[in-house]
Amino acid sequence: MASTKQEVLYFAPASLEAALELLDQHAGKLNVLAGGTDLVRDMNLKFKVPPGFMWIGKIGLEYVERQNGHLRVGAATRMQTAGSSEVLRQQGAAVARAAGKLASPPVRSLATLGGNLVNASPGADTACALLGLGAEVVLTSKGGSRTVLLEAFFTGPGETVIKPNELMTEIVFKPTGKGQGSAYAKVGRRQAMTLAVLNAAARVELDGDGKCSDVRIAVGAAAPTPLRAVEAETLLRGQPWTEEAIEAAAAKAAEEIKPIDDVHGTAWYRRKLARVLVGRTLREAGEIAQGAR
Amino acid sequence: MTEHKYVGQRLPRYDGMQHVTGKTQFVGDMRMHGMLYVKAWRSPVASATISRIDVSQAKALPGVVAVITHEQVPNNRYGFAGDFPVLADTEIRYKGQEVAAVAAETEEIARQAVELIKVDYKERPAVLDPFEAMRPDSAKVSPTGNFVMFDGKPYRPVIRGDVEAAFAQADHIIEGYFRTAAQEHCPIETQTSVVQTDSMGRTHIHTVTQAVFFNQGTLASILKKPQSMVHMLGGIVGGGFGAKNDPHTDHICAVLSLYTNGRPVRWIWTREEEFVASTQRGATHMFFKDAVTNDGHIIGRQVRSVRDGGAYVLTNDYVAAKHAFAVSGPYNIPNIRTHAYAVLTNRRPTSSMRGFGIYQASIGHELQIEHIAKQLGMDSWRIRFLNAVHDGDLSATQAVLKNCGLIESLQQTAERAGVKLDDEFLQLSSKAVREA
Amino acid sequence: MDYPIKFTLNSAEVEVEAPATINLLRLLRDYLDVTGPKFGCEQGNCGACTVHIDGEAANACLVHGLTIDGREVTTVEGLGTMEAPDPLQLAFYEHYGAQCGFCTPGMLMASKALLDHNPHPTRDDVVEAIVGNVCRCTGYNKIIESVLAAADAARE
Repeated sequence: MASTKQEVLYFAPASLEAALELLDQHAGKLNVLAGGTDLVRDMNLKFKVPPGFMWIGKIGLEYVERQNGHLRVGAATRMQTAGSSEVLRQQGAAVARAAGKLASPPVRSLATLGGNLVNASPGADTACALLGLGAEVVLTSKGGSRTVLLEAFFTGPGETVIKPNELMTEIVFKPTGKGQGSAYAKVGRRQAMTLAVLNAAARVELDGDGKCSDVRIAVGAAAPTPLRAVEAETLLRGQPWTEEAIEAAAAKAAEEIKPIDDVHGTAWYRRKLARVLVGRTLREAGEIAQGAR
Repeated sequence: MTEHKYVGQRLPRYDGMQHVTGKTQFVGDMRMHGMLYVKAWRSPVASATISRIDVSQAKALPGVVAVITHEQVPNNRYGFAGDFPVLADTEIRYKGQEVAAVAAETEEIARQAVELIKVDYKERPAVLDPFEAMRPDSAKVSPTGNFVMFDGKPYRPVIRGDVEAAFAQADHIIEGYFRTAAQEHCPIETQTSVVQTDSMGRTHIHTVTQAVFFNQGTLASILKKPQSMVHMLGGIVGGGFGAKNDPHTDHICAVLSLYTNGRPVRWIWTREEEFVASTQRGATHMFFKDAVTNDGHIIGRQVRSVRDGGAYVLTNDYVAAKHAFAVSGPYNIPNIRTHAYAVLTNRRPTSSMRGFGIYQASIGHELQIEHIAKQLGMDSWRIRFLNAVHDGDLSATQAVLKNCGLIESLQQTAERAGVKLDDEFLQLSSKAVREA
Repeated sequence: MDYPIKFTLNSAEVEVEAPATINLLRLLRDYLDVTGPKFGCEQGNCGACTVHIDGEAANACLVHGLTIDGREVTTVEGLGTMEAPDPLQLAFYEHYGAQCGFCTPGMLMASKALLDHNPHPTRDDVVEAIVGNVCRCTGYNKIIESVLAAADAARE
């Protein structure tokens, strides 16, 4: 497991090309270091030292851009940047909210969206929010890029489909506009600096007749990976957007999830929370879609 | 009217400017020439017998300067009851207990050296609940049993009057069970020491202890040296709250420093060590049984109190006694029977934290007042005023009370909280000595 | 293997060599004798290590030491001195924002980052800014008062 400190390599490439070349050369032996809030913490506490680190802070992966009707967010965009981005607040409210409240300010100036996704904790704040937004991620290697839907990206707690020679470069989703809205909610054991006991995100699209033309619901900390509540979504899609429909969907989501008892909470409580938080995020996203906010 | 220079004035802290400019030198900020870094082998299990401790590989690791076990400790026992080992010798009694310690050129080498220490131990059943520990068939934490003894009794008694007679006379018998959890002080500065023994054999300890002189005596006894040879340099503490009364790092570092040829050693605990292995406030269970009259007078009180003392007596006899004196509350109750138990379990020994047994007592006796009020359908202010001690009353331990202030505190609290009290309570005074 | 890095620390250029296993907190304290940032948990939970990196508050314990190459780090020592304290430090002094003093460097750097970006914070803003800084002594009220007092003083 641990290398002695004498042997650990460090790279800080100045371009994406150089970074991909290094990943190719040292496949499997380099940890991609973004903010370090997971990797450096693990190094501190568990003495988990990889054979090498590659810092991606200098390859220009922090940005929020609109391109061809999509929002493209650089994978190394920090929580602080995402949380205060006007574009994201308006057009990707769920992730702006999740990022802006994550941990604490001195963590948010370091932690990145990409890091949160690759770390793949089932309760990760921005993972849940981005899943709810319908995001996909771009994984790039020396050989090219591939795009993976977020619901196919996570394979288990701490596990994803990313390959050792791949770098997550971008997170992409359709911005919410007129008649659309998104929201994120979380309950932790305290108001800040807390993991989610359960979190939820919703993206809602309403048509001119007050019907739900599209909806996505994500629930986190309730299964081995952030979960899309597809059965709950089915109850809403194409139906009139009513309080009853929202309640029914929230109740369905609470059944769909696969929570466990752990140190942060019980399965019983998580189901209760799921019903409340899914209802809350649906309502909030719906109100934005209706232009009420 | 005298103008006071200090009394009644707002004075700045004399160390305020140092704190805000980061100039205050905490023990962990010290770096001395030739300083070595300390790590300890800690038990991963709560209860075990030790058959062998092999530090040979750790000693052989380049960069390791000293490794100690109980064999190197001049006097391996301390504490009021003399039962607490500096380093575990024949047995392990709590998870995280130190068995060996290393001083090395770097923290990393010290950590690796600890991984090379081999302790042969045989796990035994552990008892982690004080009520389980009180059962006769429970695993024994100490060979003499799991009760901290008080003059031959397994509890600290406080007896006054005849509580059985009070129960017979009472209009109501009101029982209540209250408990407080274990608590970790979590000072932001963890346990830290920098220790050096000089060429004359005098040990200089840069300490975070809250009890400099007390610990000087303890350390002198552990090192088997006169106090003149134990030099404590302390006073700068990054939060204590009772966490830093008992030695955590001073004693082990002091012994290590005897074997490092004059080189200083520094040990800074990790946050995890602070949670797992430092002393904590002991969880306390309190069972009240009160004899109460229709008009709300508490004429008799029985309290059975059970404290989770952890694996060694340490300061538990002291805490249990303090708790026993206080648990019946600042109330004039003529008949009292308190039995305060401190029970050994296979957990980290519990010790001081802000109040040292009194905090637990306060929670118990005040919740009991609320409970009585609910049972009688009476306002709890009334219960407190009726029963509050006056000057001249006797405490539970039959000391004559002077300068009582509960009544006045209640009156002022009510005023500040906007609670309208009846005149009969506003007219009460602690100074009104009761007629015999 | 040690890697050389060069960065600005409290307005002065420093050069140091460190392995790839060191976080910024240890780099500052053990390699550069800058002991203002404190070790409280080394996992980003207590904030005692809070410093500024390129003007933003960050937990030094979570920063990989070598990533600081070419950047600007400010610690409490760079905020102000006994002879020339920053008004925020004076406010903490006058309003009893420090008791044992151990969380104080981190609190100051977190609060300073707030005031640099928001010179007129509400009480809620101050609370939000210091959620990552734990104090076991004061109960936080005096710290919040100190920051608000510093903001007020700056208005005059």
